[in-house]
Amino acid sequence: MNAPSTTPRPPLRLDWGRWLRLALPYLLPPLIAAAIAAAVWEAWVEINDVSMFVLPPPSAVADALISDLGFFATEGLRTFGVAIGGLAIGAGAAVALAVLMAHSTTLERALLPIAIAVKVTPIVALAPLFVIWFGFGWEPKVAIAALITYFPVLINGIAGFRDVDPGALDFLRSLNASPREIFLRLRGPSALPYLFAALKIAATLSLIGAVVAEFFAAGQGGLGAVIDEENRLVRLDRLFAAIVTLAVIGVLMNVALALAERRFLSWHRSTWTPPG
Amino acid sequence: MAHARPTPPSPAAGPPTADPPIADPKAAPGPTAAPAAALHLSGVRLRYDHLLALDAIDLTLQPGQFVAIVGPSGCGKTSLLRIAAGLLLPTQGHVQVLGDTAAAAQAGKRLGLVAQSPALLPWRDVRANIDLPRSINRAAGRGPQGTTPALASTDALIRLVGLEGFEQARPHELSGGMQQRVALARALAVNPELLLMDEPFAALDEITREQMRYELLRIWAAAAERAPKTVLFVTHSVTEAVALADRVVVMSARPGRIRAEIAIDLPRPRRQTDERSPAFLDAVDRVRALLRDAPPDDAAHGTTHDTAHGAPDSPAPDGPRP
Repeated sequence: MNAPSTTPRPPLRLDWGRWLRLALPYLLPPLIAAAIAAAVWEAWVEINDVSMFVLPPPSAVADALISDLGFFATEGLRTFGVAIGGLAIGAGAAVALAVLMAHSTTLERALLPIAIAVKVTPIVALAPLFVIWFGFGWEPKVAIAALITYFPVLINGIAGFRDVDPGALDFLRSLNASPREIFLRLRGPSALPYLFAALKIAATLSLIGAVVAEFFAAGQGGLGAVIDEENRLVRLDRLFAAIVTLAVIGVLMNVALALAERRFLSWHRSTWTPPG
Repeated sequence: MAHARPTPPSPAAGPPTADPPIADPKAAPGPTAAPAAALHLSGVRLRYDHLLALDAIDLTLQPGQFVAIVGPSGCGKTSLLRIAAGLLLPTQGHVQVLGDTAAAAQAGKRLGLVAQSPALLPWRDVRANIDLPRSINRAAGRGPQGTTPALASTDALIRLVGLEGFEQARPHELSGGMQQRVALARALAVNPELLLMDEPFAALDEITREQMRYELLRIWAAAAERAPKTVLFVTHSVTEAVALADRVVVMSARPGRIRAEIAIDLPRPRRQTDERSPAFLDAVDRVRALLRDAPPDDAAHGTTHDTAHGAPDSPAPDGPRP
């Protein structure tokens, strides 16, 4: 007669009040901090009567940004595409390499110096070459962004895949677990905190990589090209508007990663709220 | 009644020598009649670079026996257990686990390992942790050797170790004692014939430790109803060893050698109140005396460092030290 005694689920709809209550502790502190920084900046420019060609006030930057929001959004999206593409390729290759190197010290000794050599090669030196190799499209830009992001993921990945609970490893080995089973059941999940930390670093690096690439491998715009252009025209309000757009993208990428981290690392102490 | 038996022990209950007496007409016909020992070590020696960790180890566990190893920190008892588990190869000597090599025992999922740290997977809840060994090395269930039926369902295991209501809890939400209960259930999940326990209660507080002692005996007895479970239990607590074991093996340090063995003839099932009985106290005294009278460290072996696996808080023997 009666419906089965399942707990009644609330109807699925977005409760704005509840959402705001949850999000406010995360939104309010950075917004207040940004507002204070902007106020100090504005006051400094005002009091010292700094020229628009030296440092524009935040109000002018906001003006430039809002009056041409569509432009900055489009260029920002372009840069974001290069960054996320580079991050995917760079981090993907780094994780694959880290798996191999975590399993074999010989392989690590053989390949790590090469990885370091590639890492210390200045992007500035490589960018023109990449244009020659990959053309003027998105390819050289993504390659540069990938190049700048792989290193922290590789280093953290090697450490993460190796940092397993020795007792758990003993237990799995006492059951004759295969290396594949040990990787799937133990090494992979154990490396997740390391990989998330690395991805947060790599996400910001990928934006820098994308901007630098757009600087050197011109064509097809992007925020890097905008910054270069506005710098030349000494339109500092628009220059700073591009930088603000970049900052917003960077923050959003990190927020996305932090949310994913909370979802997948709820078992790890790093995601627990630290005591007061 | 407990009685001390120095090594080498009498042939009746101690480790049998490699060969049975030749041509005894009254003996059971053929060697097949005798069941294989659960664990048989002979002449085992283990050397780390400059340190002789184990030397001349002869030890045999008959099926269904509960054997405790006590010894000072750094006597190599953990190394001994790891050799039995096939996680460490001895430098010298012969190891037979459940009538076969240690590797074969691993492949057949016939071993259950419980260590001092519960070593649970923190991203899995209690139920998934207990299910872990079943999802590993599935081929073992299909081989000719792997006909051992599962000890019990995961639910029954959870009930057995007394964790009803905590199935969905993550390890970090549990107390140390409860984590060790999960580790014990996880080890029992493959219905192992040989349980290898390395100071499983050493990190627990004293009250929990004493409680877990008799919980282990209860769980061991319940699990043994299906098939005999042999236990090798490493500890540095003399009381714990006497309370749990049929035989207490006393080791000396550097090099780790078996110094003596004491049979504990206290009746089972044992209760915590038995710890006040004269027989119990007598056995404890005998083990303590053996640990106290351990000869000084052999300077010839030039030990400058401890073995990697010794518990840091183990009571040291009172004997003179270099």
